[in-house]
Amino acid sequence: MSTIKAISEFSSAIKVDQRYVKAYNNRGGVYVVLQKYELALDDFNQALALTPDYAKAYNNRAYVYAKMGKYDQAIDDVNQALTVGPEEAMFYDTRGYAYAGKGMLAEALKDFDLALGMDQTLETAYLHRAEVYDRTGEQDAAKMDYTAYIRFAREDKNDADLATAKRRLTQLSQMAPDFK
Amino acid sequence: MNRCIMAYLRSSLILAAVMVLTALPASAWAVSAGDYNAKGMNYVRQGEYDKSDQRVQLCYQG
Repeated sequence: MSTIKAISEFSSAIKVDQRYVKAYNNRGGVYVVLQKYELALDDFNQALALTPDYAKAYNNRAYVYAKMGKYDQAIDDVNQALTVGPEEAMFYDTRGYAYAGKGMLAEALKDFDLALGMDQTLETAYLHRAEVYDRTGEQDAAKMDYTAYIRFAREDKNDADLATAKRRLTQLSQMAPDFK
Repeated sequence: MNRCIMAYLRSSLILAAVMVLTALPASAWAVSAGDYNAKGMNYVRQGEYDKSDQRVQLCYQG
């Protein structure tokens, strides 16, 4: 499995150079993929201990915090990533994801808009915004974003999300249109 | 005669190669952290994400 081999290579990099910060960040990313969030957190913490202005590591740690339900810490980390910069579209997507988890849907939508304003192919932002529109009952907007997500999502990226998006889009398309 | 010249050239080349290789510092042979990182990133790009719940784009660095 390539993720295990990736961890092995990043671990070798760290063995060669314990201050090689990219390897901590990258290994943490693979642990996230494997849903080993505590190990991921350890690696992102180490990366940030070595390089306190490492914006990418803040973003990655923010995602782990969000997965753990620690939304405030996630938002703080993205804010830190945006402070040390340079800003990236995915930072706003991550913060929007945390806001959505916290139930702050207006703030979440604002962040997804910002993310997609910077990168119109950022498929996860379409998915996240679609889910928020779904929650707020804005079916047409949700349908548009699910459609965009399906268009941009790589088939190999996350089959479960893709299947869910397709199913939800079908359900919404079978429902009565929005009455404004 | 030709065989002698060829043998001489071959042994000279081998000798030259041995001299060059032994003159290189040990660090030239070592795999660097950057090399391991690059190899790891190749595996990441081939990664199997279908079973993951990765919803946010993670920031890797090659």
